Amino acid sequence: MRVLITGMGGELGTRLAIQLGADPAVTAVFGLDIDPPRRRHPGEFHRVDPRDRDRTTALIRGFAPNVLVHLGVYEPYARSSPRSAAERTAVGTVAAVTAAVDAGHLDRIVVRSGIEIYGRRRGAPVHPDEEVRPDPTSPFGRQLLHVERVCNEAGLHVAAPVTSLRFAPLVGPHFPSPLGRYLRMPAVPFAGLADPPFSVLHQEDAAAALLAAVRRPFDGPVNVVGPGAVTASQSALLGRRVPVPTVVPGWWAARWFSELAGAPLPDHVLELLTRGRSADGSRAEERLGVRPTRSTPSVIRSLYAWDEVVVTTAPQVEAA
Amino acid sequence: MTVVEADLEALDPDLERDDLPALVYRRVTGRHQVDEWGLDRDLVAAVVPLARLRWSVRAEGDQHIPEIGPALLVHTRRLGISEPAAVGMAVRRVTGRPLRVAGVPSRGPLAWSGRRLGGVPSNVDDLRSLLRAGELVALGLGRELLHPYHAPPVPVPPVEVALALGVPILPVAVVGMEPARRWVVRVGQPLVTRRRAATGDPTELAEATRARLQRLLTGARRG
Repeated sequence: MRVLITGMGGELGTRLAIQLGADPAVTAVFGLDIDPPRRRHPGEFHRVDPRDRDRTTALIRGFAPNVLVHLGVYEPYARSSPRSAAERTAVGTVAAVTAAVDAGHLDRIVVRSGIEIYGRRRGAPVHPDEEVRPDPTSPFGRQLLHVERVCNEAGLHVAAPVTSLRFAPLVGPHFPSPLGRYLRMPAVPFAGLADPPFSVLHQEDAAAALLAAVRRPFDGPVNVVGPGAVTASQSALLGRRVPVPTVVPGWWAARWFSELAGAPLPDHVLELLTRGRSADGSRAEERLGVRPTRSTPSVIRSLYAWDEVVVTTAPQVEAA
Repeated sequence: MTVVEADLEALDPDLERDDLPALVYRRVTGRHQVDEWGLDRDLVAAVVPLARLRWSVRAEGDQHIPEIGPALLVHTRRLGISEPAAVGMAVRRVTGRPLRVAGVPSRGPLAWSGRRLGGVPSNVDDLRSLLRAGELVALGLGRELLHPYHAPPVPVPPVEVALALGVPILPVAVVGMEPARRWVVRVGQPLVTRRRAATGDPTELAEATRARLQRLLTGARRG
């Protein structure tokens, strides 16, 4: 099995590459991303901007993968600005999927999606399952819908199963996440009149779901969501932060303040804070054989248990 | 074996104290539980004594309310204000379980309090996820202001969901008058759907539920 991982430089891509490298059924792991992988891994990696379509296409055709794991889905303000994230995701998805199909050996696609795809329109279900039709209401949600559509079309073209893993917002120590950065601010603005609940997912559970999807292909979407929920004010209290009740005009100031504090607030996170975000992930075990082991409150606690960086001075060594 | 991280209190409700200092401690430290639909169990525990001052509920046939597993409770309404509270109090007293009430607004001032107390928007998708999660869900029928002892038609889509999931349907007649304090909740025999799931007709099942509700209401009128 020859596995191509787009977005391998991220936490999920690196973890997956290491795990696949230890799998005897996997003969080669090949990765692309704009950032280098976070740890040593047994695969081959090429640093390439997803917007560089020609280079992406040439590299993928040369590798000719059996399995495409498409993690090149860039969340606004996670590792890229919203504009770069949208461009990298859209151009990179089309380039990677087209090249993988053209290479002629593709028999499986696994794609990273998110529960932002369901949207939070008035009257939308609070806790949608996979039967609910996607109706995104944020730019990131629309990005995800485009990615799923491109991958599904490719899957139809080569008659390969496409597993769309719809992750809850990914949060955890050392994981670049706009929601994680926002909740770690000293004061956390929350929707004073609603304070709706939301669910999150730990990066290790997401990586386990990806590995399971590579090994056990399922054709269709699967919600992967940490059990339970928290509200923004509850989350702030768990982290001993100051919850600040905010109403509609106050969100303008909250966005400005959070950007100044180094935690810019993209539209889909603002939507989460004001309208909530959760999904029914009860079918993940039946479809993939795994289920998240960390509940949403425990993921939030681990976010605050992440120690601050301590700067130490190197010991003085006297020259001989 | 899958190991799930959780607080002991979340796994064993007997370990969770419901006295006022414990509720306040959990609230200020953020350790209270809010579920995916917005139910805040501590808030419900705090509101129950106040609800007992406002409503006095007598339950009949309450042995039919399941202690475990999901069920769809289809109940009658006159004005529709006290009925969900009366059914919720009866369910809590008999089983200790929270009742999820379908039909709270999805936005606006009532949405927050409604969802914290166990309400969910009236949405077939949410009904499906609640029943799959093993919850007891109350579905109020159309308001019968002038003919309180007449059972209105039961909507087919929720019955279809219950049938597809093999969830029992409980007919519940709620008898009382606003703003009086005393209410009677009559729970009928459940309509078992598990054996019918493959071949059942939801329209027929909805009509059977309505007929059972009508019998309960007629019995209440005579009694």
